[in-house]
Amino acid sequence: MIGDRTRIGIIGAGFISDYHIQGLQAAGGEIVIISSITEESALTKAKPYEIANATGDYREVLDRQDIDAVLILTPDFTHRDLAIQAAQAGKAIYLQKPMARNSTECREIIAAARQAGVPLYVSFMHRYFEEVERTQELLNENFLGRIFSVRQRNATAGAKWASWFYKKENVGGGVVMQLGVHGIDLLRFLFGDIVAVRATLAQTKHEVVLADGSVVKPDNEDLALITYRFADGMIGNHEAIYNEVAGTDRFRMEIYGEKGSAWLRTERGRLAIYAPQYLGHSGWFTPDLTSQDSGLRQHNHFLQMLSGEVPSDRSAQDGLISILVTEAIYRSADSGSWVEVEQP
Amino acid sequence: MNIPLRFAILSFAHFHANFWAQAILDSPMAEMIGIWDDDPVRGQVAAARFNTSYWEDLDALLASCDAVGITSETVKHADLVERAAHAGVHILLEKPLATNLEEADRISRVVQETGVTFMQNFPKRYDPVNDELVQLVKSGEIGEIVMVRVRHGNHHLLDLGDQASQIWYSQPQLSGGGALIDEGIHAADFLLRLLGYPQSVIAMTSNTALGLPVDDSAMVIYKYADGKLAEIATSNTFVGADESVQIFGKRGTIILSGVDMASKELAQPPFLRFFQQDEASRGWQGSSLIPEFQKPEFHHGGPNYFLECLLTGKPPIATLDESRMSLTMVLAAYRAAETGQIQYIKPFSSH
Repeated sequence: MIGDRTRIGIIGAGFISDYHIQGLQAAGGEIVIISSITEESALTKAKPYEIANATGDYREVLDRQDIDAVLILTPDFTHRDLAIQAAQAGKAIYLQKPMARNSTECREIIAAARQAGVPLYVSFMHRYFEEVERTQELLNENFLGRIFSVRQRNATAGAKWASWFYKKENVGGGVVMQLGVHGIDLLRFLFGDIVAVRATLAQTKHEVVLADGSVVKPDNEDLALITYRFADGMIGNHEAIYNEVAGTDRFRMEIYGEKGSAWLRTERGRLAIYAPQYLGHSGWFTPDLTSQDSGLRQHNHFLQMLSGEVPSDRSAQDGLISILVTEAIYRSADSGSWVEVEQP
Repeated sequence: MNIPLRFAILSFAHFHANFWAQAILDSPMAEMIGIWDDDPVRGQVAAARFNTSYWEDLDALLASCDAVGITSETVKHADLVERAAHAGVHILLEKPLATNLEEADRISRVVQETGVTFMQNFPKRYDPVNDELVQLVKSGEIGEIVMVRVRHGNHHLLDLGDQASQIWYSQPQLSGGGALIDEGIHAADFLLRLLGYPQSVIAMTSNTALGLPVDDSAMVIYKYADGKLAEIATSNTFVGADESVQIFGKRGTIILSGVDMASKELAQPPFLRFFQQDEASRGWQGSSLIPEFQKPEFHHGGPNYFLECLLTGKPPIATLDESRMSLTMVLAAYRAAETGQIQYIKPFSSH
């Protein structure tokens, strides 16, 4: 670290980079350089955030000696190569989800980071939504008693800013890999390990019109219905969908336990709790959640892990496990039966 | 003072706030006016839970109540005690007193200046089993004391797994430390009551079991002016235990079990046992007393004792000086662990 601020380089200036740049700068990280496919697009992104250096060549980021860490915010098919090169350059790595296209690539990244002795984190932003943090606190207090089941929905209208999402070879699958992986990690984050899955997948659209008017012909699934069995016996249901016009704000979750229910991001608000024994009275309770700064909290956590103020969160291992779950999902969709999740 | 006393709880950072709130709701001596918390959502959830109101305005709440329980992050104790004392509100404070002696002195000063009743909650002090134990020691039944060992701990942070690093107990700037200040302070206060103020201390702490920025385990040895030795062994990773206190005298031994979280479910009666050399033929003898800690209403004890102090004028369970002394013992142990040097504990100077 130079001075008292962690210095960071960013590779990738696409849609998700705004979230990370804003969160990182708010948390006090100093972004020294950003790269994109072209120097022009890097400059366009750098200017409003007053990032001093912009380049069309990611190697200029990795070659810099004055940065401690790199954020890799590029399409999924580049994660493996970029992460391994970043490890070899001795940089701490912060990798956008999904970790990579398959578990082999994930393991190669983990091995490279371990060999180079650099920290490796995988970004799962849903962990940092205030309603999720609050739910986790309440689960720690056992407010619903034993949890029997959970329903979760991840749904968007599908990305309209780039075509690469719609090709299997780019993402290692389809909606399960790109969007479903958020939900897979969130379920594991709140409820522990998933031991087995059963899934039905479908491709409902064969043409997608992007924002620039171009047409892409997807070759991957855009709808997934998945059932999970968790280590403690709990059952979970998960829908991941690209073709929703409206109705779900990134995700919604319903948790049902022996002493009550909790809903996240539903028509009852960001968090609604029905737990008569815990609350001492019946009726839904909805705390006034106001925080919108999940990016700040996520990057605060990242910077604290880098400086050793808090221990590493094992998100790299979780990144691999979430991909192992997706692989079980694809195998189950092929076989039509329950499939156990491979051990990491 | 009027009955029922108007009571409020400031902050639900510490889990004991839940017990205190329930104690107030159950008590005929007090009524719950409301909850304030600098984390509004935490406060709202708590208010919903205890069917009371959440107050955004701390000053307005303080103006509407007679007494408060303060269960905030430890580093905020001094600020909140000052706010409450200046409002003329009596204070029940969660342990530990503060994260350092400067904060402790601010608390002492404002309590003395304003004259409010102040009590730090040390549950071991009002447990009859400890009265009996102290009585056994003071009456000379086991002869002159040579050595005392106190093992006191829990497995809360171990149970939380990866989430342990997220909670405020694990953040030294909020908590002032880990197992030693959070759990070890109970042992320090117990030793203070039993043996008085120690003269010196050596200690080692460790955070490798949980990898947190605070100690998850600590071993501390105090030496007293008359040569007695006392040990504290504390941890947030004890999954099971039995004996908590061992007192070795020249003519006998006393053992107390089941008075910490690690042994609560596992220890069996008799919880208080003693061996007397003069009565060796009788072997171990047991007391029939059940420690308060074994009882479900254990956590009601602090608020109830405090309410009785306010209503009857009886003195708080621990004096401010005693609260400061046990904190001094713990902080000196931290200094010994950091420096690797024996630390001489300064005789307590009044402020």
